[in-house]
Amino acid sequence: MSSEQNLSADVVIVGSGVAGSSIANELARAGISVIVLEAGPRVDRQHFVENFRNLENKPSYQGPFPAVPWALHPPDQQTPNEYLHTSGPDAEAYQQVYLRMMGGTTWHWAGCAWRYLPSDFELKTRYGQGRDWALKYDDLEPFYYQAEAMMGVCGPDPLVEDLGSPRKQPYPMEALPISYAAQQFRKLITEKTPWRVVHEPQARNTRPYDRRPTCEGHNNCMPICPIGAMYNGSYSVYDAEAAGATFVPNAVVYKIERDSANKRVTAVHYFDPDKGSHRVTGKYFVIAAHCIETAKLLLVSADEQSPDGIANSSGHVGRNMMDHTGVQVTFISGDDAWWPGRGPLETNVIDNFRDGPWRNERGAYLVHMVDDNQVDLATQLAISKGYVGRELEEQIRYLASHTVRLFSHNEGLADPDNRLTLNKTRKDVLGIPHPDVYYKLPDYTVRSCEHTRDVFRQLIGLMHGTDEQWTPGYFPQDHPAGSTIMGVDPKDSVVDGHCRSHDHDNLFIASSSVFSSVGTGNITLTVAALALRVADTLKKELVHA
Amino acid sequence: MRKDRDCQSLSLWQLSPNAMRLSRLLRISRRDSLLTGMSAALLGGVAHARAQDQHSASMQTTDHSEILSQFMAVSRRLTDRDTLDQRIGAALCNGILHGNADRQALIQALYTLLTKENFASASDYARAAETQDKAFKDVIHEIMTGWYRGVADGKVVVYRSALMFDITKDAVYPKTYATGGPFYWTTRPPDVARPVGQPALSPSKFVVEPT
Amino acid sequence: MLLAAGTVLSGPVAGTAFAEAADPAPAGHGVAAEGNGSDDEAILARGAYIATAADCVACHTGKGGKPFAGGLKVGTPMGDVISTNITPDPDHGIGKYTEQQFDQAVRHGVRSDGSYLYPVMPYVSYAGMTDQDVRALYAWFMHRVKPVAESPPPTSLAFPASLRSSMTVWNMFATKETPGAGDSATYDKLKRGEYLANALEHCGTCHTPRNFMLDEKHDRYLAGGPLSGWYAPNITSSTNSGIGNWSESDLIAYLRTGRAPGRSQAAGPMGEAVEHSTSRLTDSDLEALAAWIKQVPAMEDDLEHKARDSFGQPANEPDIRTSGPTRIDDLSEMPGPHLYDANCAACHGRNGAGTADHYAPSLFTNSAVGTLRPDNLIMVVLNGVDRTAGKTHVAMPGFGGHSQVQRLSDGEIASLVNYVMATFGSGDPHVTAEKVATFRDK
Repeated sequence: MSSEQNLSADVVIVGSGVAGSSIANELARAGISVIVLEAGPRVDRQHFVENFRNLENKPSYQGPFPAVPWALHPPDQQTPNEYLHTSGPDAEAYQQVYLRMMGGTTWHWAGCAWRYLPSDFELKTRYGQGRDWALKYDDLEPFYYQAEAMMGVCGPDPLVEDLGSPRKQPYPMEALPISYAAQQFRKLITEKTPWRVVHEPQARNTRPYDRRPTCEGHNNCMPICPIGAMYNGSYSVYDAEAAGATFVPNAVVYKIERDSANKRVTAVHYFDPDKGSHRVTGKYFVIAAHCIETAKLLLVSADEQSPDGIANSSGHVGRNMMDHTGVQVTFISGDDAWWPGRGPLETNVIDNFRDGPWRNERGAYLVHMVDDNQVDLATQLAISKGYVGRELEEQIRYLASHTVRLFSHNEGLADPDNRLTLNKTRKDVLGIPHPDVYYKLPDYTVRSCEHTRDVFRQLIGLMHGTDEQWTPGYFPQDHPAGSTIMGVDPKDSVVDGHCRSHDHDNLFIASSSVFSSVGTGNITLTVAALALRVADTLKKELVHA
Repeated sequence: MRKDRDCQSLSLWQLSPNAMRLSRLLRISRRDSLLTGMSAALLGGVAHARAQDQHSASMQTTDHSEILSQFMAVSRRLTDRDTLDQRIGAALCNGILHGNADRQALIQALYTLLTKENFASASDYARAAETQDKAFKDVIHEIMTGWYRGVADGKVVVYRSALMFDITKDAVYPKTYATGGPFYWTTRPPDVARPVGQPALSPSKFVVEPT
Repeated sequence: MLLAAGTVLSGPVAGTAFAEAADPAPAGHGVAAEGNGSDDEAILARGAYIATAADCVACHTGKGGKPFAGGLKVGTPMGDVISTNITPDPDHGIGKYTEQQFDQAVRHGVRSDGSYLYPVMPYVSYAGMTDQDVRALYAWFMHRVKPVAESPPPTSLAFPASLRSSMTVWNMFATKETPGAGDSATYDKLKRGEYLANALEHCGTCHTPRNFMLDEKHDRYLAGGPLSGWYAPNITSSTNSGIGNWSESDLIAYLRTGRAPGRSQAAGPMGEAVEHSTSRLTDSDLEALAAWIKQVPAMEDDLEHKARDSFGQPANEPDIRTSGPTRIDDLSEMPGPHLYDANCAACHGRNGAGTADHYAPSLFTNSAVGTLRPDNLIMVVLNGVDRTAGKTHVAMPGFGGHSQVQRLSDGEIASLVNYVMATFGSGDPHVTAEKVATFRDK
């Protein structure tokens, strides 16, 4: 494509993940012209499946996805990192991974499709902690359902198992029947603790849905579902293209151009892999580039008119970095064999700690018992212990069948000092700086993690566990949020309750970057719901214009 | 022990920026450094790797079928199995020999030990080997890793056909190869009694990494 | 009043097929319970069942459309014939049809305005229906099917096929069934089976090859024929070319569930026939139909000389791997075995044995793979399978241009089909990319 060619559409979207593609699909179906600019390439499932099978270090979720040099993403979760460099007292806790390619990071998520709780949106009002969102749960409820229908979400009947997020319609698909291991975990918790285990709502087919098959339990949701039973953004890309949206791969946006009054966004500029520059004009612009890259883009775009970055009169672009920090322990159960790893990865959760009066002092969290095939790790462990032959085989069977892994999502808080900035020396092949994040865990989260460890110790005791391996410190859950925070006051927020920039009327942000709190549920369903709400707003403004 | 991966992925080598390429070569992961008892020479870096490559390349063309049959005999004893797949063995053997200049001699020595005595089990054999020479421990680990994990020289040689899946096939499927049909996972898998067998070799350190 | 005055119904419905009539479409329940006492209900129940067995809904419902409201495009060499709205809507459907006009259409191929129907509407088969069954069918359509006030687009074929009057000549030469006599519910097993096969399910419409005039070749009854990309196989009693090696219970299982385990499974138009029709037949009708089919004269195929489901065995090659992960933008085409591993092995197993519960069938001893004609395998790879029988909904994704899972190129599909048939079937069919291209969007 030559540098002179000018692309133009009513709506220009940066990023083709679940947020960008679902907006593109909604708009295109309403007859609105849409261009989606995706930094990374078109990709396909079959190569990822083979990449996974050819990968030695299979627990590395980024392993099957080596990036293209013009759209780097973190190659792993090591600190220091070759791309996303984190620093601060809890640097390792913010070592996020994500994917820059057509369809986005949902190519390798676990499919957990939680709605946030009503209280998650009012953390400040209810508990005096963190910040309130500029919208309420009820504002988002219809879009939550729309997102569930779009993705194909299965979940429990609310009359049987109320997950705390009021819903007007049943889940599009019935809850996933849980594995034997999950059944035993549920039984233990129900009988021996005051807590409960619920069916995790999942974007996973419990019957054929959307021309995609029923889940067959390949236990590989992360990093890649081999059969497409789990939702990922590529389906929305396909649907949007079929409806008339244009997707441009390998288009790395680096500049957001505004009019001379610095009011309306007039265009975005992108580089192709050969560093040819292209300008794309439109009436509305949506940045849907994931929490990290969205903030990075707004900062990279800084110029004389906006020296602190675009849409940043508040100074909060890149600040308030949040995540679900994790505590994890693996141990060998002294009870009967559960054999984790049969069925999908994430199906059941202890949700008692998602909300409560104590939330004025310590953060909420939820607990997963991971249903993860342990055979490979058991084999490594048994070999390292010095077993060979028949004894090795018995050890592998024992370890693989008795390993239990628990981990948590503990909520972070919006702290403006937790901050994304542009690295001053490290740049990619296009000359765009790498992102840096400084992170210190809020005390609120530290206290939450202490509570979690205590609960885990109780569970280990109940299961007569031995050989505990606690993951040292804290680790990221790849649910980054807050980098373009939502609020009613333009002085301390970047977007309003409709995800519209306070500074630029025709600029929207569709990403977890707008979250004012991170709650406890996985972020993707809320990202999708917010995106569909943005689409709704745009449809109203464009169709009536 | 996983060596530098200069051949692991040629496409990456050709296409990734210099910085990424170099640091991949030199970086030893946390897990590697925690597996004690490894040859310290391997921390020498690229130059050493290159020298070994040349050595491996010339070595592979001489007496390959003999070393392979020795490797297979040693493997059968170490896995307590009467038959092992020859095709997998050939690929594993190549990988192990490629990973380290001293592996050929060690495998030959292991074979010599095997033929000297009539070992009743893999454990007896491995114990005797480590007693005779501590250097055998690493290569025995590599042979176990090869057959059970399907990995040699830091690379996947087989995945579906790895023995670890054969020995657990009554309960779980390998990831991406679950052929139980929808909802197979709701049924109860077999129980497993606590094993009484003892390790044969001295232990090495191993830490579970977070996902 | 449903029936003309003076009409006498044949005996009570107890013990006949209709007592257990299935509900073919969400239009209402015409099932008569024994001892209900209402003749009208009995007639409506019979009509509902006849509609199921004749599978009206399959052609007269558009993709995603309302039942019987038409709009389905059926491809013919002369262009697409679009099915009509046969709901009882007075303006858009057949609401104004008298019973005689209905009969003229169903058994004689003539519309109420006097013009001819294209024999895509299998009136040459339905001509075999008894008077009683036609009347019941009419009653059911008029009283139980929900009217839809929408017209699908009209059919317009290329000249001279556009001249419906040209059908007069065709009808003179084409062979039609003779109307059955009496009460079809009282036929003995084989006669009932023949009635189901020819007058209702119209198996020959797809499974009997056609002559140059596109009339069925009755001397090659059920010997197989092409069908919009698919191939409706030889289902005669030949053990080499047909299903002579199947037992009656194999065939009953196939018709009831869409699957004869270890032999065959239904996809495409046969999958639809199972879903909408054969899976809803009564047990005794399935037995009758199977008995009839199993005894039709054996026809040898010019191509196939060994039973389609008798080929192949599990593949036991280890998955020797020689590369690490490739960059995300590497979409290079893989060779056949790797394509199979990456796209098929997850469900069908590296060894081709399928899933333990046969949800995904084995690829060896599978008629779709053992046949010498790669057509059905190509169509399944392109379009997938989506088939509900009773409560069981099975689905395999397609890999064609509308797949949500993985879209494969013509070359990739050719490599894959060649690998699958070479490894698990009758041998490499040497399908080319160009050939695969002709199957897309069929």
